[in-house]
Amino acid sequence: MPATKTRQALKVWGSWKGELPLQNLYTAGIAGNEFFRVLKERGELLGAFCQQCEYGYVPARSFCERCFADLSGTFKTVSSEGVLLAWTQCHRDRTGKTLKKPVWLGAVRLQGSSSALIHILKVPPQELHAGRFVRAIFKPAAQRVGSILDLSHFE
Amino acid sequence: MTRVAIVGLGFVPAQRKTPQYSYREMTYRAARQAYEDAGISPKEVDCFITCAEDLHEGTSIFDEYTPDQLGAVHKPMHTVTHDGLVGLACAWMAIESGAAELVVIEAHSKASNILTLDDLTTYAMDPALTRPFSLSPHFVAGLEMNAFLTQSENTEEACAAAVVLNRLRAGKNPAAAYGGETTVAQVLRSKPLSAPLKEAEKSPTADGAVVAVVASQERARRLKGRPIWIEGISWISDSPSLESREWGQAFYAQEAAAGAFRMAQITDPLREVDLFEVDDTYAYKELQHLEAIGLYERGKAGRAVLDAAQGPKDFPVNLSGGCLGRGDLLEAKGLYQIVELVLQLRGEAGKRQRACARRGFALSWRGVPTTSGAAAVLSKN
Repeated sequence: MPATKTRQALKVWGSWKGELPLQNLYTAGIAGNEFFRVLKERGELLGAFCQQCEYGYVPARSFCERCFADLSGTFKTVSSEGVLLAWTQCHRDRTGKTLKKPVWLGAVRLQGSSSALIHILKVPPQELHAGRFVRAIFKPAAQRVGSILDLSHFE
Repeated sequence: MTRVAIVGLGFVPAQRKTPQYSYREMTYRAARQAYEDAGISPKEVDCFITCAEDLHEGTSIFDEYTPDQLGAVHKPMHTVTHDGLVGLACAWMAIESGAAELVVIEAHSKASNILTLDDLTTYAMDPALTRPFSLSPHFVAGLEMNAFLTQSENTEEACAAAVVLNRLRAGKNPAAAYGGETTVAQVLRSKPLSAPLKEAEKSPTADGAVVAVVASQERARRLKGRPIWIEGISWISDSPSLESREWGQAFYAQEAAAGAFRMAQITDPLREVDLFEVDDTYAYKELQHLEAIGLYERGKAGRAVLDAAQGPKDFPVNLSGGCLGRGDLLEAKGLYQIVELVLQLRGEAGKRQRACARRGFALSWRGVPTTSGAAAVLSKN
């Protein structure tokens, strides 16, 4: 139905506009707290390692989703370098509005981990390929606040 | 184990917008049709199930708003926050357990009322790791499409062909909202959403409602309708985390399908199943799912879709037009697949009727950012 007709129909058929003003706190937890503390204070990435599954999680987690083992004693930092697994060029913001400047995102497997960290990618498009070497660029210490955006991007 | 059958079906054809009807009225229409089809009164039903999400409905504790339009006031009723195929599995379990003989399952979409769907879907992302990017949630599909094409060597042209084919097929389906003709070139020229994903490769949303009446074998025999039997049903979730899922692979589809085929004692789906309704919320998903369920080897689904889009070929996949042609009906996606299978198996699919359809398969996926899927095998015998 064309937009004009839709608007006309909506005038004929009544509806009410409403909203749900939701706000929440999200607890980082022990593993999350440690991951963001290390990121903020040291500019490093913390992982957790399951010996049984031989699987390294980044960010660090308190338990293994595969074998259910307790990983709380296994936290250690991983390399800030890794390889690109997948990438996309995003053209919309979270509301669906077209971005003035598209943003590249990549899935990166850091050396010493098995999972993929999703983050902003600044690599020339012609150089994008699976397995490309990338490294994490962190914001200067004074600008870090304990957010995933303390990691500026991969390049 | 008793056999379990779908003995009644009612649905509202998918529409782009439904300003004239409330969701209650759409569901009521579908329910009246389903009860008449089964030859029952809602008073006879042992248990009612709705599949819905509060945030899609814009109403918290939405399960309190579900009984009246189904005739379920003063009856056992619960809501499953999942796709309709999982609701069908819950109906199957209620009957197999002996807790019920006759169960009604409902799912609907009033997507046209959701004014901020992208923003709402962003709230399904991890609040600390992903939401801070403030990007459209379709980036998850763009990232996965890139990984899938890279790993499988399927092509963007083949993904675009799925749009062409499914929209064309939807033109023969009066219950589809987006039937029409388009070309691979037009799809590839559409605006980028999250490259390589294009705008035309994302299913547009639609409104609708489906109600199904499900019965034990004994109860089905006492009813007037022609039962369509649930031979297999299975559902599974992979890792919810973007970080630890296997990008490019649809493990949930592989395992859900394997479970349903195993239960139905099917060892060669291509020979033993006559038609397939496979989730295509995004065009590449049709190819990925066809390979994951074992219909095609890795990298071969794209060729099959391209061939089917270029001319008459025996390609019994998404005869309904799928999500790309019918529309994305949110939690009702899986039950609209069931609508197509039941109509085909009853021989009531009109212009798109598949000859000698005896057994059909459905695979649903819950959409980004999930890795949850459900599968069902239905049979007329």
